[in-house]
Amino acid sequence: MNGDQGGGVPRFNRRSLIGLLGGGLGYPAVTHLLGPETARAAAPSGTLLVGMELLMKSIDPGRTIEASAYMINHAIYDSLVTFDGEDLKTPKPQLATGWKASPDGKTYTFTLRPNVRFSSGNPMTSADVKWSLHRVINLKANTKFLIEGIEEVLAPDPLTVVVRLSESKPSIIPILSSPSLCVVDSKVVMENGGEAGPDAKDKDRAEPYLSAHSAGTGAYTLGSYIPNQELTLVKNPAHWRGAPKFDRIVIRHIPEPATQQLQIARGDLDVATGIGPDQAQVLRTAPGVTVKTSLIANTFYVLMNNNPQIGGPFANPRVQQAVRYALDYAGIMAIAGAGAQRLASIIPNSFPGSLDPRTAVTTDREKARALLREAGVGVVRGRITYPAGATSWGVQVDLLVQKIQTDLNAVGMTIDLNGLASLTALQEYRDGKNQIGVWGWTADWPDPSNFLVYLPGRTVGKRAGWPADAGPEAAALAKLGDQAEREVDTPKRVALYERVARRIAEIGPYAPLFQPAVPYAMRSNVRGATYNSVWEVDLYALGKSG
Amino acid sequence: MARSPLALVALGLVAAWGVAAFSAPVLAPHLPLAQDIVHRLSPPSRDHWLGTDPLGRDVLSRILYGARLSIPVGAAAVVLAGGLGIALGGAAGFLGGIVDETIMRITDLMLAFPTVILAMVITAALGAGIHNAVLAIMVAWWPSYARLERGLVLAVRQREFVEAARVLGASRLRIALRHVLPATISPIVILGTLDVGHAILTFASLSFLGLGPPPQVPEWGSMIAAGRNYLNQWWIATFPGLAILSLVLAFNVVGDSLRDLLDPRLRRV
Repeated sequence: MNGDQGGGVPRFNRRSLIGLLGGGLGYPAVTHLLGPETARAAAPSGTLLVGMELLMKSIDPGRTIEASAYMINHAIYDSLVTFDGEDLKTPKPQLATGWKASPDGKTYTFTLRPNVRFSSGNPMTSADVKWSLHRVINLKANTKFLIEGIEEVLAPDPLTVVVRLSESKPSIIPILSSPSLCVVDSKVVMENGGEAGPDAKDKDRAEPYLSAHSAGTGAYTLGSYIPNQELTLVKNPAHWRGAPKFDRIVIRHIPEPATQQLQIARGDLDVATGIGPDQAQVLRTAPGVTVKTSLIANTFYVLMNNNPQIGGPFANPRVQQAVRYALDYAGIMAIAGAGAQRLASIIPNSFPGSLDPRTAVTTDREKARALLREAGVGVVRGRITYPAGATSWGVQVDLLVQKIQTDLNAVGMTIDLNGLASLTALQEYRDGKNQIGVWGWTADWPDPSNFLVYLPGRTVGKRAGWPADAGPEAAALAKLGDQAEREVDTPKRVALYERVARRIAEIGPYAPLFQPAVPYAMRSNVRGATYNSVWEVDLYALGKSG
Repeated sequence: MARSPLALVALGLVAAWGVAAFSAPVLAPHLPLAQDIVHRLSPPSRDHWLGTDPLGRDVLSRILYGARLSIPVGAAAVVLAGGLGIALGGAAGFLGGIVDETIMRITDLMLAFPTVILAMVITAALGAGIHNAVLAIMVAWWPSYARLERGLVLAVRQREFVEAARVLGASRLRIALRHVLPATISPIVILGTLDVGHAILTFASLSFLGLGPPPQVPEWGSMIAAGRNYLNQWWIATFPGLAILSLVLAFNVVGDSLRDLLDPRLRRV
């Protein structure tokens, strides 16, 4: 992280003061201090004010996978492939005009869009694509899971890119839409410490530069970025799709949903992405505000650790089954809010391979009690670990865990709540140390293959103490998952994913809950707002009337 | 005190909260943990006099049960901080010399930290929970009792009755416990009474920040925290806030009146 950019309270005060004295950040500082009427008058139609929770460690595309960084990077950079609006099923061309897979599914050839220039004026060529992807491969940062299976990237001529995979992997196309795999201006980034060679992990020094500047072909360029405070985007007039509609976009870090609610209602913000279902309910009747909800490619679930040393009674399959029957799903859906959908398994309903929500487990407390008696493990006592005070996709986690605690108490279990600071709770979850946890998995790319993480021995499976060698059933399921991942034929692929999903719902140490829907609000004169769970709001599509 | 109507009202309020806390299971119309999702976020009505929270729990019942936690916690924190302060401050004043120096420098060091921040650091380090919150308040507060006690001991040990006891051959321990300590107790009690309200407020602040009991436990501070996201459902945060206000204010007024009553100089005026 760039030292000069390191945010903090004293810096905020100083910047505000400089702003008031006519410094570069004068405008945002003034709107902070003046009343709503002045602020509205101060927002010219060429500026868009966005309120969101800027939760990210970095905006260097090669080093970030956070949703808020994706939203910004999607505006600054372009990738080979993209998705349009809220549709996450049909990949669309972006910097590539088309692509072709070899018959064995191991080689993809992309044709690049001609006459595209970076904001620096440099032309975008296959060399930039190759350099950008190699940088992500060799950085071995948190983005490395995206490029798993890519063996090499070739640039036979300036407008052709060839991606070679170690084995067939049809999900590579949706994966390449990720803002982490965007195309950066290799010349500019190299001049500023960028490195894409095999030792990039140690030699790359471009992160500070990419936190203060942008080097993309996107519709906007990065104006300024003060972590935990504010980020501004500036129009890129030479953008290949045509110049965007705003001269500037100011994105303010506002973590509290209630504050965003107040500000959008007063007109201090044009778009608010960080409100919850209960704030949305109030804003629906506010004059001049439009509220939309968008189904998110995330699966909320209850984790029960399958490792007896950590899970205790919750490692018992009958107890796990009892938990699934004990939960009051109608009540849980009320907390999840309008638009959320019940999940029968762990693949989101908006993806192929998902199960019909009507086949989901329904509440049956008698059955839960009977299962507990059958399990014969005596008193079932457990502890739910969760990030205290966190709001995840509009859902207040504190409320959800209290609901689950009450439901499990009702069938005779004793449940304690162990609320930890978000990062501590997350670390415990990642280390597989949660006895019971309430979490969600959000798609990193829009494809069911991303949700195979729930399989035994994979990312979430390991966190739930469920290794691939947990037993013959787990081993068979892990194998079935591998088969689904490699299948190229679409109908066969969907059928395989459905089988995997059903099996995980039956024997997995999880209780699938729901797919959340995120409410977001905008002033009624804002046009073209769409939201998807990978990069949230597409800033390029936004405009303002009147 | 009998002559001050304000003090009587305050005493009445403290007593009323005491009764409410004691008989919450009888008074509360609902169970404090009973969730009624269908009626979540209902405004005050005949069924729920003070409305319901985001999980459909009755706000009035939770406030009544909250008193069962806040009052004992406030009292316990003050008794513990006072006990530790008396022991250390008394030892410093009575023994003097290097013991005095050591204890008082530690006290100065502790007093240099803002108390709420210190309590936050302690609970954050030890983990959230009722016991740790009480412990944090105790650790943050004992220095003011130690200071007060030391000053009182220094003043009392010069008095004739202490001299008399010494001449009569009483042991140092007996002098300390039977002659010096009782003479210093009334200012400590006054400070303690004033501080109970303050301790309740600090405990609520720690809970508000998520450093108190787990969220399902009815506690005023965490109830206010839960209401933060519901500006239009004003009853969720307002009523627990009023509960804290009334109880803390009442304790302060009672403490003030007690000081007036027990301070001989003020009484004569």
